Amino acid sequence: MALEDETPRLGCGRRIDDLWEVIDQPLNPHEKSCPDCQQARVALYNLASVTEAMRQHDPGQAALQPSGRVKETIMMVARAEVRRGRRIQLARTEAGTIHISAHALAALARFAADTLTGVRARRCSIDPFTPAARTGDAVVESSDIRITLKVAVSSALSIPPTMEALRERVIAVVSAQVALNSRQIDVIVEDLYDV
Amino acid sequence: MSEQPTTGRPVDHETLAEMLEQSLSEIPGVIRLEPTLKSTMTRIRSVSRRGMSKWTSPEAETASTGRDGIHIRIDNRVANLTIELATNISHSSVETAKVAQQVAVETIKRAGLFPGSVDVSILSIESRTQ
Amino acid sequence: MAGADDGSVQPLVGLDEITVISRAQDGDLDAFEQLVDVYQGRIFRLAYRMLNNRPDAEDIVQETMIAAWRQLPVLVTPAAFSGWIYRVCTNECLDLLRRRRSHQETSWGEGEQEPQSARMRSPAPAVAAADPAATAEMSAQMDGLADVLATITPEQRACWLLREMHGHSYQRIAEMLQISEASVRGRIARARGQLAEGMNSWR
Repeated sequence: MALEDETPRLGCGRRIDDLWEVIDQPLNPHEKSCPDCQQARVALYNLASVTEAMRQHDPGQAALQPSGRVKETIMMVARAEVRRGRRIQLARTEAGTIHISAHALAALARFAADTLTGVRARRCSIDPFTPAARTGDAVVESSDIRITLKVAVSSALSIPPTMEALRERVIAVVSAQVALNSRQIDVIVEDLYDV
Repeated sequence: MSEQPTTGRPVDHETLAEMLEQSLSEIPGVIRLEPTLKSTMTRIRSVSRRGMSKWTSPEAETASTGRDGIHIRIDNRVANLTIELATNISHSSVETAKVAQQVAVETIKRAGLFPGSVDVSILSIESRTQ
Repeated sequence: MAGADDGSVQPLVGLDEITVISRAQDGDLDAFEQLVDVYQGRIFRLAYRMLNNRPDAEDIVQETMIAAWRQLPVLVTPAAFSGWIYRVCTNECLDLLRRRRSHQETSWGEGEQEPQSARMRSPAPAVAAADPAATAEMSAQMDGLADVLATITPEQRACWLLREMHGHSYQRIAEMLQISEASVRGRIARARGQLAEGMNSWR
């Protein structure tokens, strides 16, 4: 639609955009003598003030919020559709197998990182060491996984000691649940944030 | 306690699921049986346009066959289970899963069935109690 | 002009939005819930002003947020999330309006909007202003603006709302709607002209 690109103009030929830009300023010589501009100015000025009132008004209105049911449904679907990722075998007992999902393990690693002041866990990936396991069976042994955790760190902290403490913390928390060794955990600082 | 299942008529799927739900939820360290796509999708058949009320209606609830976190297959009175759990971080998840296996085996016997395999998947480890 | 959208700032419990989005990308439900808390009101207001119908606007919020959940893992830059979600919401609204229009062409009698009485009128602001008469007057004017807004084209309305109610730049809106910046500028100028005129005769 070519028309769409054309800027609308007033009867006197002036662009509405240009008038809008100077709506708060005193009349210029052209406006003083142009009835089109004067009329448009009054109308646009009124629109600007009602627009501003609406912008202030709407966000605070309970009536302009979706009902609680909407979020309930969204979270219900999200929970049902959580991508669990591959499963990691933790044990086999007389009764059967015990697995943990990569998703749960990643969340655990993020939780561990968050317990350190000045560290914010971001993405965490869990991959098998063995290349063959990456494409094959969705189940891997816990000795064959590598955890890569990305974090943002407060710019007020010195990075090397923070990284050391972070690795220790993640290893401590994760190994309490899943037997892992320190070689299996990589921590990457991808961003600094200001305090 | 007899090692043999009690004689008499064994329970059906639904009753066993209900018994398991009850006994597994009581294990310290189990936060909840974790809903998955299978068990939840029946309830949310339609989430789009005008579908919001559907999944909360009582009919939809009873029509759903899957129970959160419990999958049962019974062949010749042998019950095979998959259990999906959210566990509490203050307990070792492997230990919690082992307890869940034992509790499930006992529950199957109480139901008049023979325990087959009881596989446990930990889908979430959480710090909060629910 | 307010910054990127609205005053109902719900802090992401002290976390920067990139961190929250990154976690939601990994399937972290708590992080995703925080995003829902922050965005559902914004996109509901956009959808409501686009459609003038509450149930439809709620459906749009639901569909937009579920689409977000599904798309998050493949979103390359977390910073693109906000623009992405406004784009999905706007497009859903425009699609729905197109369906309404084609529906109207084939069947008579069903109005595009809810009856006047069922629609929301702007309640008076909670904090009484010094001049109750002026407050009532402004409240009536906002209702007038909402009515006139329903008379301009959906494409103009979308651009105007994204600019004036949600504080997005012309460039950002152009990216969201995948049209040129000149088109955005044209649509908004046209919308302003028609709204101003409509408000004038409304008074």
